Amino acid sequence: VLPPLYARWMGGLLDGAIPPETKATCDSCAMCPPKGASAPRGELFYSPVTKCCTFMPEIANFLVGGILRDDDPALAPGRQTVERRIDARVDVTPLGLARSAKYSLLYNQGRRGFGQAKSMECPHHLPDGRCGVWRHRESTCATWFCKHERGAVGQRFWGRLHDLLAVTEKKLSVWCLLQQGIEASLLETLFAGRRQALAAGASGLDAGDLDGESDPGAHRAVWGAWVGREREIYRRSAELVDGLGWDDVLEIGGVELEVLARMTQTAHGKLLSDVVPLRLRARELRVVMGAGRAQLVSYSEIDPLSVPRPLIDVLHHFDGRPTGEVVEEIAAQHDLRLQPGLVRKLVDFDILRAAGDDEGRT
Amino acid sequence: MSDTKKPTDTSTEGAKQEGAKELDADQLENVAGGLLPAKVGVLDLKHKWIQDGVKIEIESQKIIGEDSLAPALKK
Repeated sequence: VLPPLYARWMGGLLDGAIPPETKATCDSCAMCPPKGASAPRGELFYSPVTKCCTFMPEIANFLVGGILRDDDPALAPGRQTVERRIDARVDVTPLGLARSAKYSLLYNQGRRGFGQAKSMECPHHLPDGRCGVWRHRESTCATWFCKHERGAVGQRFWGRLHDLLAVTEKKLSVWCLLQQGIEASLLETLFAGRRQALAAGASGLDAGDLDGESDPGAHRAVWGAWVGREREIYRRSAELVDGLGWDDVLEIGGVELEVLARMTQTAHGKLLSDVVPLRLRARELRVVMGAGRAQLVSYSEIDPLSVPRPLIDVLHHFDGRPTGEVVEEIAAQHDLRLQPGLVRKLVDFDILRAAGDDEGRT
Repeated sequence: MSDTKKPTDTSTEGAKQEGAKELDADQLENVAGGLLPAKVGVLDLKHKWIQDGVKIEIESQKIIGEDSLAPALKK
């Protein structure tokens, strides 16, 4: 389920609903080990404490404003986490709440920290396990799933949607500042300063960065006369964006957003389609063999499939000949009839791939 | 949707076998958690182990890498 704002916009873009990802369940995390079980070597589970909330989101100004303006009492604990982040003045800019350099460094360098490292826990992850900003969550948190109902087809769609929403956030956060008449000197600091730092390869962290402390000078440089009135910009940004329909967003986003929107539409069409390619080809399999069943790792190592062993023994028949012919051959030679839904799922999970003219189309 | 084909006929007409065991999508089960490359062996299509339990490079295929576990940070 997308956040209401994004759901409204996607209603204006996509021809039909987005099927829910029922396998990725926050309440009963599909990546946590069964109760009382320890993870055998080679198997990967997330910590029941953090689950996948080991990612610090960058929250665009209009989303921050949406959280601040949302007076639902149920959102109060989450709103407080945002208030704390603003008050800390660490990587808080008119564009929104950014991720600290220290967090980014650890996140990028960490090995297997995602889903497991308590130190990487999202600041908006509440003690009761809920997301404090769920209704206003940003593009990554709104589109990332550990497991997909339609396997690689779903992953591709959500990836496209992520890219679309991420660019939307970037464009709109700037647009909001322009609408509010933010001073040219601040724009200079926000954009030219950042570009120069990137060009200079500035990646070193000073003591303040490492300690997670606010740099008053840097804060003043990006806020100017707005220091102390940060929330005003965020709230006003939310009001401005609230009034936008998807067509308005597209106009603001320009050609880049138009391209991403079309790619998202295409991926959505494939997500709604259950056609099977006319010709299929099997591929090498990454397998954990068990008695009677095998686990296959295909498009994602965190979304393996458990399949009957006899199925493994017939997949080599898919060699690019017409799919119907191969299914009949398997039935004749192995007394095994593969139903269309199963063949479709093997394609979805990238265990069988389109061949010949269909190649690259699924 | 213009670049997709019509559904392939995989009906049970034609060479239907008496008593052939049917396999449907429900028998492909999602698994809790994930599997690390170190645990996963690689089979070729004739069921020869290419590698057993060790992460290896596979020509022309995207290796499941550690970075696929987590969403990338926005640049």
